[in-house]
Amino acid sequence: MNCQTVAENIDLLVAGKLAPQQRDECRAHAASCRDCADMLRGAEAMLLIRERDTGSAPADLFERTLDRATRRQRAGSGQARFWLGAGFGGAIAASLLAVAMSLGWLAPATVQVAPANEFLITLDQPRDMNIAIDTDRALTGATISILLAGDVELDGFGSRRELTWNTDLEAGVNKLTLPVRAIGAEGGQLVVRMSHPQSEQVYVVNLKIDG
Amino acid sequence: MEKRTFGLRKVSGFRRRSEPDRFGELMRPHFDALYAAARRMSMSAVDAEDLVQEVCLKAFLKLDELESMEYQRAWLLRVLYNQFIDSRRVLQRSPVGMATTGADENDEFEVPAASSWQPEEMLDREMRVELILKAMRLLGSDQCTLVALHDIEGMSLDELQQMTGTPIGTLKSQLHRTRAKLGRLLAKDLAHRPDLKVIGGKQ
Repeated sequence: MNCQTVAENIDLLVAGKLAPQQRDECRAHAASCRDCADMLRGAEAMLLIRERDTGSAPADLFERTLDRATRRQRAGSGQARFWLGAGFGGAIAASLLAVAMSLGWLAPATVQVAPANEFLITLDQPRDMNIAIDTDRALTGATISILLAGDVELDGFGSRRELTWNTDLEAGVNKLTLPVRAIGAEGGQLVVRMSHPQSEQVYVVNLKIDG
Repeated sequence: MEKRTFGLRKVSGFRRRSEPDRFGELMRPHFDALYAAARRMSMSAVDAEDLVQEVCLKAFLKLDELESMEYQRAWLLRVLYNQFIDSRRVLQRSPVGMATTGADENDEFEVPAASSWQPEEMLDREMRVELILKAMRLLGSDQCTLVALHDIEGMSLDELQQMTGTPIGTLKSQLHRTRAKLGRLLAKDLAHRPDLKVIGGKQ
């Protein structure tokens, strides 16, 4: 018996599943080996914790805990925050990309960047890309910027690479429709930046040529 | 500002699920496991509830990230064990002294041999548990999480490897080292507390 064998068998040993002879050999080794005695003591201590009777959670603990967690976050911040989500699921048309704006929650004064989505466009023919902007309360004075890169353009705006304007949002889902078309074979990228005091949200859409 | 822009149109008929709804849906399958872990690592139900509460607060902050995770429960448990390590309040409230706190873990002391652990010498179970939990707080955060996920939560080394990307051999040796460190901390506590001779599990 050596230290390596004890280490390899320690789970079985503390669980009482080792054959009697091996068990006795391991224990005899641990009795004369400080490192193995420590390791065995540590493993047995973990078993004691594992076997503690935990009982059941109080019936209302789940609701209480969630309520506290969500309420504390709300109370902790009165600042606006934008964030992106794709939580519309199947209820939304495939062409409607989701940008969620939410107010009154966590408010790190940082730029939130959502994972890129993909949208298929066609050469020389505009295709409407719908972006859903969800906000849980009305917003005035939000700034929207559209940035374009690559072989793409917004129909009617020629070679413009950037558009910026201020707008108001109603509470709920607001739809922004952008007529996008390809002007080359490479496709491109469209970035929607939404900003409001204290926070900013960036949403990236990769534009790929359909077919 | 551009003069020509795009207008927004209010759309009715659908609405994104609220964050509390998403959070509740995400947490429900893991909640009992979280509470059980918290209860194991606490000396009272109240402390366990506090621990779960802290985990939920942190999880709520990471809702978007958490929703896309493959190992959600392991992440939540990791947060719980980190929170356990960070918690000093429970330690301060405890009536039992922590002899290991100011001592160097390499101090020489007499280690009780495993074969000498007799049931009649064992402390009251809860007192032993309390000493073990205190010793666990002296582990590093990563050490505590590893040994807890494996030895307490029953996660396999394969699962831990997939979750952390750490090779199994490395995990094994970290696990052995952590158990040994924990054993040393417990032995040292005993050495400083001659009235408490034995800490141990099954014979």
